[in-house]
Amino acid sequence: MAINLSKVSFAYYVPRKKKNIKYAVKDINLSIGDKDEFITIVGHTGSGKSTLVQMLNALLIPTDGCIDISGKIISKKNENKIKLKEVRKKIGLVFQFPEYQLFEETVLQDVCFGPKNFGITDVTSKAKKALELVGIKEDIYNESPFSLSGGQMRRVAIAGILASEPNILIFDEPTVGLDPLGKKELLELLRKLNKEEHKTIILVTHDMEIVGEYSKRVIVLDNGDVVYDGDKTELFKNEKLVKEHSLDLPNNVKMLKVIKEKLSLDNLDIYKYNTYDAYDELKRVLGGNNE
Amino acid sequence: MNDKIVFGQYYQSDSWLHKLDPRVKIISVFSLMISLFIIKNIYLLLGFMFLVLLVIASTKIPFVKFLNSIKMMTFVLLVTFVLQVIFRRDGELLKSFEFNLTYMNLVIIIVSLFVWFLINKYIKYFKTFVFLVIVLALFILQYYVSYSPLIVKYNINIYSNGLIMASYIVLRIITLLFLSSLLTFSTKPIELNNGLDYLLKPLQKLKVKTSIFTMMVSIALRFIPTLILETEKVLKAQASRGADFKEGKLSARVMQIVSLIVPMFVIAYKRAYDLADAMEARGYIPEGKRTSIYELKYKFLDYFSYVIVFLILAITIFLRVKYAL
Repeated sequence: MAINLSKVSFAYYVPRKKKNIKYAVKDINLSIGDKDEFITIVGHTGSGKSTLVQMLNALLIPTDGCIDISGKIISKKNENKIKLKEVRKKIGLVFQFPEYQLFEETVLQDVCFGPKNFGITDVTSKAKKALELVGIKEDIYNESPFSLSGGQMRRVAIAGILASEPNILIFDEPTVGLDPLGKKELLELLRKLNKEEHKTIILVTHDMEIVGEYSKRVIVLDNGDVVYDGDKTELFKNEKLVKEHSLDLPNNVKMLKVIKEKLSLDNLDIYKYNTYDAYDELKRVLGGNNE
Repeated sequence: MNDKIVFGQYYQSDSWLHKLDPRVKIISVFSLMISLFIIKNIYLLLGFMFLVLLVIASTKIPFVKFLNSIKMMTFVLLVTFVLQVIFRRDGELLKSFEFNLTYMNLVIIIVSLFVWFLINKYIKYFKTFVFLVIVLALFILQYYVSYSPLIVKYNINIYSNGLIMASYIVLRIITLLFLSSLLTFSTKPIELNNGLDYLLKPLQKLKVKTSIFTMMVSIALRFIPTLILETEKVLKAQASRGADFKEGKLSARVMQIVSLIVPMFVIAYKRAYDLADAMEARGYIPEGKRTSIYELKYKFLDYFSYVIVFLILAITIFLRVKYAL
């Protein structure tokens, strides 16, 4: 296991009277592997998702408890001893609206910024590889990043993180503000990174479609607590939990549920997240009739 | 990193000073400052200071906050005091100290100052205080110890007028700081701006566009917390790309700071354009006539404060002209 959180709490402000402390994240125990995981973190606004994610990248140091990132311990005690760069090299964090972190004169130079800081060799080839991965064509490598469209800027910014080749990639609501096609392309890219390069992907999102279609494991946060950690289908089956934490079912599941109820198809498996899977399932149950 | 960004020094309270019209507060502080500089007599100054302290005591603002506001000035105040005491040479001689600068003392002085520069990074609290103790110790050394060959012998004489003048100046600066802190502690920046807007209105007759000026100030005030938040975000984003703002060579650090400044410019411009569009969409015309949600109206207490303040000003001017006090 690559990341281990044990009893991690975080408060943005520690008052003099310890009683009045308000934790953004409280007593969290988690372990996340550095290979092949595809995790989504859900929970309503203010539930501590962003705080948790920033702690994984050592941008915030936990107030209590410690985080073990492949052998490197991050806690308040050894705050000054942590080699932040080594941690951040292994874990790439893409913030919401990452296009605001672009600053260099050309696209290629900007993508090189990360790897250069981490002291990685053959920076340019890695940057080019990352740009190719996100689908940026070679003819705009030398253009200013500020002359690009919004979607392109975001892809360049993401390439800037990919270029340092982290094992774990964290995305904080990456699809906000993208058009449907851009969203789909980005998510397919993440799936590709997960399947072909065996990277662990952690997604913070509000979108239940993403949870259903892409993730393997779901972590539900509420009020700074982990209230659910496990398989997505198990989560959706537990309707009480879904309702309690103001979550929702993916559209496909909702539709299949209605079909199951109205046509009283008892053996229909409603937990099919992809439209084609849903179609196949319906076909199976209805015996190849018209849909 | 605090999630609540407090701008300015405003201290929340419900004292009479907080309820006072900002216009009154601005004018009062200015006229009181003028009277402060008119006063020449130290006893009068002490009386004035006593009045200011009375006001402070009546406002429920903790006195520690006022002390904090003069904390930054301690060093300057001390230096002024010491220089005044040493170089003022009238009135009667109170005491004369004789110092011997010998070779040994000189070496000790140089070594201890050198040590100070080496270790002062590691001292966290009372830095100035520790430095002063060291300086004082060095003078005591020169006063008592004179073993090795002498370089020069010098006197420091303290005269009565020097002492009076020095305390007069220091007291005046402290009172000045207290006065301005009273204004900033009891008035929100936005209130100050609003008050200024009203006070500058007569200038509009001279075709000075005061409303544009005050609008600019209030927009700037409004944007400070927003920009701080944005800076924090960009800082974190670049830090997760391995930017290191604390360590490394100077040239590398400059590069890292560029990675912060460029996005901040982009964000600031974008925000400015958005705001301009939003203002136009809501019908903002630079020279248009506008009303304010915070209509300022003088009440009894405001008139009363004006009377008191102008009375003080008049008395000080009268005393200065008639008796040269």
